[in-house]
Amino acid sequence: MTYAKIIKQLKKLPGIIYGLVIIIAFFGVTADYFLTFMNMMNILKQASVLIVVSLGMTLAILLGKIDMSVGSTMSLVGVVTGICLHKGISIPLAICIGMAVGSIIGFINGYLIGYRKFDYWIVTFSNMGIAQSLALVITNGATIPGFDSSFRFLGDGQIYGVPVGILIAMAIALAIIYLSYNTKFGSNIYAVGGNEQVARYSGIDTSKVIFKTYILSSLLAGFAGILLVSKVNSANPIAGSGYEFDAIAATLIGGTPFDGGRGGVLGTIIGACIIATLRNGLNMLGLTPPIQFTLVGFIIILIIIFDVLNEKYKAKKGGAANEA
Amino acid sequence: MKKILTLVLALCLVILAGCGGGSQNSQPTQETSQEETNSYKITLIVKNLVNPMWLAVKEGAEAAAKEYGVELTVLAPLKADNNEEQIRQVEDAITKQADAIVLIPADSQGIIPAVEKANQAGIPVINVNTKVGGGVTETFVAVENYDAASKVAEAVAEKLGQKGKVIILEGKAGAQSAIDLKQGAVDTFAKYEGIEIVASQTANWNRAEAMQVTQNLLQAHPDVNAIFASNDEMAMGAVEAVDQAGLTGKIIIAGLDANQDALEAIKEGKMTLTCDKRGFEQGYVGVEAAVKVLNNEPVDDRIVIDTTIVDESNVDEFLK
Amino acid sequence: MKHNAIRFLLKYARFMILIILLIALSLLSPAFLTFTNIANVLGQASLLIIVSYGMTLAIVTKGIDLSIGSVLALSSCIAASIIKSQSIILGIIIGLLIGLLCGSINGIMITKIGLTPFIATYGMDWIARGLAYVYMGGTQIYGFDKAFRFFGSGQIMGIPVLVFEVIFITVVLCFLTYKTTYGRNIYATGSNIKATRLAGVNTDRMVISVFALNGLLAAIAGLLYISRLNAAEALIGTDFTLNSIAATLIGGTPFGGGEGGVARTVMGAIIMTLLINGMNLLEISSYWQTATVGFVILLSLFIENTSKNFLV
Repeated sequence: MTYAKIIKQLKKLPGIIYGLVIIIAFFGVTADYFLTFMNMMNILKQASVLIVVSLGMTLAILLGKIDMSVGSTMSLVGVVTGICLHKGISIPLAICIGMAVGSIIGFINGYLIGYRKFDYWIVTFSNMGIAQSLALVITNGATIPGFDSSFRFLGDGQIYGVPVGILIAMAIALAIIYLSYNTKFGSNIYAVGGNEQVARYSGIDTSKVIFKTYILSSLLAGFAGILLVSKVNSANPIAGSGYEFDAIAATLIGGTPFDGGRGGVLGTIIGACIIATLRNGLNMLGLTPPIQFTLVGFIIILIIIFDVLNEKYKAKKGGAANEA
Repeated sequence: MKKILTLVLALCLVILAGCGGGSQNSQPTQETSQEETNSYKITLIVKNLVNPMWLAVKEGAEAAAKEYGVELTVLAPLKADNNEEQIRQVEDAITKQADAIVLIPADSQGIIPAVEKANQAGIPVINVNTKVGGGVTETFVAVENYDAASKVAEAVAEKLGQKGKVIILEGKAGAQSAIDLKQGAVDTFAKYEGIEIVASQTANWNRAEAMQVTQNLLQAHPDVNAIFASNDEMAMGAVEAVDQAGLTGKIIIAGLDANQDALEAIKEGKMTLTCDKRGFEQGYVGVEAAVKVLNNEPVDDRIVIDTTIVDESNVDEFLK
Repeated sequence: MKHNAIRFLLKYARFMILIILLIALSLLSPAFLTFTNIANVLGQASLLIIVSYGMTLAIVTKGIDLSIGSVLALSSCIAASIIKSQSIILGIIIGLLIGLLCGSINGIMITKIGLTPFIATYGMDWIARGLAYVYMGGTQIYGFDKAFRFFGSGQIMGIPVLVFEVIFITVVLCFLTYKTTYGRNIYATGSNIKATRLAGVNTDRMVISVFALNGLLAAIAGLLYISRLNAAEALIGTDFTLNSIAATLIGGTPFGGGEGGVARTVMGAIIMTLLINGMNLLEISSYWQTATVGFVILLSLFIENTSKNFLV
């Protein structure tokens, strides 16, 4: 069962992977120094924070919902952790405190959406504003500077030339891949996303699944925030804003549509890599920001158009009997 | 079918990026037209390219690049003033093996890891405008925002006759330059007993927001005497708000950057003063310093660029 | 009967928040309940109301439009340069056409190609903003004719002209969405697209027209915006997208599609503007702004839910 799912997932991948390969090939030909080990590591490192947030977003979208609060949760957890570190609290404890604060946002999201049946857009959108304000208020709008080298190792260190940030992101990605494809909880997410009512009738505690998913999403967002702080060696109260849209884009590019129950985190990882590669490549070409802006939009739309047409073609081939 | 789709997409991408590539190609040829086959590659990274201030820096840098036959790449974050993107751009410049990086950081502290990386790679960093908080930089082309704001605040205090009520319009919450500018103004006004800061609110560097915030603050403080805006964009928003309230000439409005439209407003008497931070010189001197460093010529640790207060008495010298 | 009572109370809930807010602000700040300040608030709210109408219509059709702010910027920048160099009327016409074009492209991408509204408009957001930057090259256009400025900053008997313009647009849109077949079809498309298609409605055309209308509204807002600001630049309007979503949500149009409508959104946009105005007057740090909006949205949701439970 789970194997079949993985294979199904792998079968779904090609469309998006082509996109990534074409982009890499294109920049490889046009931009000097693009296809070097160092630059590939650069891209992966730049993608690692986005990958971690996007994983949480993907789980929420698989539920057929969304989590708009991830970006400001990143900022909030980042500054809380930063403040703790400056107060002399040990690194693991500071991270735990930060994550705990972040999970409160997830807790509120999960409780209101899962148990009180509030509209997910409204709740996460409101919490986005609340978390953003809290981050600004506790820092008084200022950046929290400079941390220990041992903390910076998380996001900025290297092991045999491979950035630690990538290794951490990969480890988290593997855990979430396992969780979503191979566990009961994972299949429950798909079931709730596919059809919440049917899932409830078949004995799934849908409220609990929703609750847990939102907490997980905020934890992942929080961890991404900490990675970001460690990477840039400072905690800024608005550092995470905008990440929610990038995370949604990574998820959608990765082939998980809004209706829920379809797609998966593997695609999202590729989606995040596409976004990071695109930004890196356009920088490497030395294009000015206005042109970069326009190209990012065009290329994302092109990739998705390709994917949609591909899907339609598949559906036509496979579902002809159904329609008749 | 699938193959055809792939082909179509590939074609689109190539064509698309081809147009992009075309414009990219035109840039270096334009700048290296002066010859010199073995020219230096210098990357200039600014805070954004939506404020005339940084455009002036870019123009100055391009002029210097032309003069010295340098291949110049100008980068700016897509999300204005975004530290993380600036770090990426420094990393990308290192990968591209730029010979030198001229850097205007959006966040003094946040940029340090990137500067350290450039240090490790042995690429000299020339710091312009906003000071980098750590790492090694060859020189600092200084237009300290704190000093500039103090200068403007002093001029405002002067015009106020050392007493009155002042509103401060701050830049984006959390941005380094916003913090420095506000601090400069607050510290300076604090020196004058008669001057009271009645409100200090952010308008996000943004003209429209400044207009709205000013309109609201004018309701709460109809007796305000002066508005200190942390850049000219916001000052222009305040100008519109004050104009629509029919208070033009009664309230002193000060900004920074000496943008063209602000200068015109000063000429028309709608705005009181601004501060020329000489963006063109900043860019020019920054690239010039980079070339000197690469040629192993000595450069000072700190190159100060003078700022000038512009008001109605000298505005004609600045108007293009 | 009971249904009507619930509906009444739900509408009442938003209204109650507005009233409470008005009373609280006038007690807290003496500057609040003055003629100039109320005119001020209405003037500030008007642009948000216009763009929020577009967002509301998109959400009613079960979509979303993330490109509103950028389309606003692109159309107004191009219009501004024409207004400066050619004529006001030509500039206005071209600005509106650009908005219409961007919106139609969104609609076509969504219906004919099958992109989700989020991605189509997310892409359009990047493209339109990029084009605006390219077009303006980082400069501003400043200082328009008095005649053009009248639309955005003029006053009639102390009341901003903007208020009259918004009332006009509101009446037109209310008629269009609540009284015509076209309007009913929009709601039908939002609540069940398949059934509506089976009933013989060209749903593709409905969606395209709604997004085209969106683009048009964004362009109108853009023109009024630059007229009010007396300047045009590429970065204007970035906050409109999120703020218009917030106004729609506070107003009580849910994301499920087929429900809510423009009349509710007026309330949402005015509440949003009042909050910001009040915070400015009371000198509450602007850091609290997003949280306050968040709290108010959650609060209105609580009231709505409890009143629902209470009645059912």
